[in-house]
Amino acid sequence: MSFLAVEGIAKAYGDGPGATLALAEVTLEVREGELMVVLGPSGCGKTTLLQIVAGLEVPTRGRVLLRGRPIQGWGRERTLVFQEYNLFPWLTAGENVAFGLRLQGMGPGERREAAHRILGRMGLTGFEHLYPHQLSGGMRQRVAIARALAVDPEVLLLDEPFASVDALTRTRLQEELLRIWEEYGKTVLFVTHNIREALLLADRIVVLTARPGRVRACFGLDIPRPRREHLAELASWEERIEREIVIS
Amino acid sequence: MRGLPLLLMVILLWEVLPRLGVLDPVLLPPFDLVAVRAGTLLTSGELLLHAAVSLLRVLAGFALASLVSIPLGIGLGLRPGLRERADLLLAMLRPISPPAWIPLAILWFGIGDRPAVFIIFMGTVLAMLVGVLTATQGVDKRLIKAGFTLGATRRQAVWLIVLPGLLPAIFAQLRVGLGLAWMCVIAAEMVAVRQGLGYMMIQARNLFQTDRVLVGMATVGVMGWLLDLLLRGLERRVLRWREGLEAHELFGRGGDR
Repeated sequence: MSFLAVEGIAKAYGDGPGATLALAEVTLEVREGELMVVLGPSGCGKTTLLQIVAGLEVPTRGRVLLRGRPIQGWGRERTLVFQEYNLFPWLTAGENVAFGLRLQGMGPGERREAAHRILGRMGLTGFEHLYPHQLSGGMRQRVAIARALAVDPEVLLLDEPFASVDALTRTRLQEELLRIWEEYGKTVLFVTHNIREALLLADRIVVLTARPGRVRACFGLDIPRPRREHLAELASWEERIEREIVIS
Repeated sequence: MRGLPLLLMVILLWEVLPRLGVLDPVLLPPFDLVAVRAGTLLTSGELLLHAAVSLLRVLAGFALASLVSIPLGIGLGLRPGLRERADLLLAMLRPISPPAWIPLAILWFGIGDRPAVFIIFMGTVLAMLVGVLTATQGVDKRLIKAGFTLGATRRQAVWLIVLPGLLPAIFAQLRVGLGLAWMCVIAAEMVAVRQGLGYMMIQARNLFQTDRVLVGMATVGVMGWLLDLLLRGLERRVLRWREGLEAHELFGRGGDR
């Protein structure tokens, strides 16, 4: 039994002849503790797929199972980090991270401490009292990841989280994500259209076709980390995956 | 007090124009005479009594209207099904001006405070309701989604995401509503009451005491200003997070381009 299973998911918007199909048929299995990247061109339904796994969208066909049990709507065992900056603007960084704990009824002192600890792991000590708009884009996404981690989810869903930060920040954030992933041992489902990013992060890469999305190929990557030190292998993988995408 | 020079200029015109005979001093008594009249009304206690009565009516009507319009506006804003059912009625009630409710208010509530409070309520609740409703429709859906995946129930999402997100709009509506309440109270007090600034003014008009009318108007102005100041102070405290986010920071002072 796989940890997280996406079984024959299809998603159509609207109905009748005017309906558009976002996802045709997607099946994938994520192992516990694995970092899986879903790679696909813009508009292939990657975001839709993630929203379905998060329980924010209902699939037209198919189902999602976590530990063999079908998911019921959304829940804090599957937290999502969004592509756009999506922090609560009226809460400080620390309060944002503590938000999920507050929902569970944790007391103010305890959750402040928890938020402080996680923000520290993300390299954001001393920024707890700033509001989101006072932080840089990269910092905001780190706070968003910390917020999603704080409730101790079973699966962390990331929807192109680094798409809107500059290239240098992106590299640092990717390295930090890997460090956090190893430290917390979370199962991660990461969506991107960036081949390089997929290669740097993934245990396995699932390539989706253009809209309507279906699984084109699945690769297991055996390049040791840190992967930046294995440029030749990265390059050959990049070529292979690019070919795969062009054919699709 | 950067607003003071403009105010002083208007007062100066108010003083000079009737004195020079440009305006008839009977129709517009000069400022100093009105000020003297205000002084005697104050020392006799008459002005304070009328002002206090009007203030209480404003606060009562405004509080009732806020208690109804804010929850209802959020509810209708989040439930399109309910909103569609309410739209027609709201659209037809809105054009009815507050004084139009006076006859019914007197028939239903007799004379005294209650019809006045009712008229203020009717004159403010709809505008605030529509304002809150519109703002609720504009709340960022993505923030709610983020809350859901962190484990929020729908109720928690309303209290911890929708409501704080709406606070800037709610404050704007409170200020609009408070202004409207002052407009309504004078109209409401012109009939069927024996106290209040509106009563004082309509009495004065009947006796052709324009100075007393002007004292009444000025009193409304000053009290309205003070209450608005209070609301704005509260707003600044509650919405401290908005500092650094507001559009006016890009315009205004030092804008040399």
